[in-house]
Amino acid sequence: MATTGVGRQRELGAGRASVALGWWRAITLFARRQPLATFGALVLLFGLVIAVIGPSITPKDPYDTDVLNGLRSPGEGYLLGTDNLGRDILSRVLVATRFSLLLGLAAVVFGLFIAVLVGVISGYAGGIADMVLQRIVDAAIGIPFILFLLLIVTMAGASFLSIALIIGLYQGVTSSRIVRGAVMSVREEVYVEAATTIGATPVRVMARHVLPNVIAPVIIIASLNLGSAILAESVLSFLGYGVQPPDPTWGQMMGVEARPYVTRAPWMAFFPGVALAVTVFAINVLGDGLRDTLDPRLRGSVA
Amino acid sequence: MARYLLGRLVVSSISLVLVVVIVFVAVRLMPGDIVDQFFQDTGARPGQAEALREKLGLSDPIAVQFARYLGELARGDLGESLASGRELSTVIRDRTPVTFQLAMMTLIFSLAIGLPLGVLSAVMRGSALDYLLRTIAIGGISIPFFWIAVLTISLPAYYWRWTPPIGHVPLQEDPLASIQHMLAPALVGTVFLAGSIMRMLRATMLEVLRLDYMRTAAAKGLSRATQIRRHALRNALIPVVTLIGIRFIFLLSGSVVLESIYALPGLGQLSLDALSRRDYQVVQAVTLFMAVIIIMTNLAVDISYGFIDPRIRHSRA
Repeated sequence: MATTGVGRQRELGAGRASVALGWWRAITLFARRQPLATFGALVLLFGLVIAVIGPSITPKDPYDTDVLNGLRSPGEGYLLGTDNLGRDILSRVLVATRFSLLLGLAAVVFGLFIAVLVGVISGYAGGIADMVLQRIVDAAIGIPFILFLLLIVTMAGASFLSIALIIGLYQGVTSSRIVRGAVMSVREEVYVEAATTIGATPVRVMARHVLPNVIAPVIIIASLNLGSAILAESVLSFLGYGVQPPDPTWGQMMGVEARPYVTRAPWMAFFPGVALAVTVFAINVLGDGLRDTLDPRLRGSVA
Repeated sequence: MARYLLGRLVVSSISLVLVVVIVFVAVRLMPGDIVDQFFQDTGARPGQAEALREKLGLSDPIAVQFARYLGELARGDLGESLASGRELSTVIRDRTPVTFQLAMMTLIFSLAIGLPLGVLSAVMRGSALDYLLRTIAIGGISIPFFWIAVLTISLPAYYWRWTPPIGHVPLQEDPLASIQHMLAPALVGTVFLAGSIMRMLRATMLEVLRLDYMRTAAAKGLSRATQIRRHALRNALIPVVTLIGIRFIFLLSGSVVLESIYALPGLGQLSLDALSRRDYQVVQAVTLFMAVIIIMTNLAVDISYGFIDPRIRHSRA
């Protein structure tokens, strides 16, 4: 591994290669120190591959109903069994991967934007702006999460975009506290004072000096929020408030679809749940590893 | 301390007003109302729906409705259910013990499991046992609780034709049966909460274990158990208390799903039913009630710091 690195260094010229070499070293070091997190990263990568190619590798048509073959237990012909309408569970689990992962990612990206916006303004400006924003944050935390989701999603109508935006908004508002805390401690640093003294505008100080120093907590929040975003969407679909059929989602498969048949066909709920649990587990162990590596001080503050 | 409390109470009531406004507007923006739901199957004669809306006060402008609602709240009146006409303060009083019992049982199980294992994991840092416990803990917070809940019903039913008892027996009627009925949902909640407590406690214990006073405690010859119990654990518990506060809120929220799976007549099921029936009054009352509990929990957590750690005295509000 090291020899390829050195070989590439000669090829590419010193500057760029040392960056590449640095990345490679960082990755191998991470893999050695955090085997579980690396396992998580590999599983997540596998999930992303399924998300991309899933619809083209399904053994059966995930939408094709075949009532004569309904509620078949896992086995020949249907590896993971069929649901009440005779649709192949494996195919539906594969197709649903894309929805869950993409929705989670979209929610987290939007949530980060909100968290950074609210956290930086609140932490850096202080005073009235901080007071007003924090009361809104309190109110958001005060409404039970699942009720809030059900209420707002019903209000706005359930679609991929609306669910992602609403989960992202909630996560962003609630995790803005962590960004705010980080900003408040950075604000007191000497280099921020120095920048202000030589006449840098507040916006410049924020963008050039404060933001780069709160990147670590932001990355950590993102990785830990991804798991909960995917879970949140699943709860919604589980209760029948998610995107409408026939497009399968894991939550909907194990909730609305499986619950009438719980005692007759446990596989209907079992396998989508395995996919969901493994995905969230992989994301969480990866997030844990990243947190330990990037900022050990944060251990505990975002459990 | 009194000033600090007063300040916090004022700030909390601002947040509560925000909750009231958000929920009031959001329920009315949902498509369809209770009258549509009512006549969905039977169909309404001309004018019948309008008359019912008039009677329920739903045809007034939203500002008028809001003013009326605020007036009721100011008199301490939560209003009546649109669907059943029942006094909501009574309904909530009947439903709360169920949700509360579930939350308390989950909390007790989680502490009984999470605290000792969290300490063990920190003390045995780096060992195979530590690694195993950490993996279990992170598994606990990753596994969807509604999935396990469904499996606790479906797997035993399919393979052994047996299910854990479903439904609810009030605690004062038959304590043993009551606890038995709530065992399955409480244990499902415990998987998540115990994992969460283990993770937090391990992390904070590790921070405390390397501090100077731990070396002092060891140097003066205290037994390892006393060092851990008297010096390390006490200091490591503060963030755990915060976490328990936050997770208690999560339990209230999770009750929406657990109560629906195990047919428990608590606040969660009440709100879920009300939401699908578009019973605005019930949704408003339950969310307001839960928001009060959540905001009080947060306040209690902050105040409890002072008791656990005498150095924090809330001199600055």
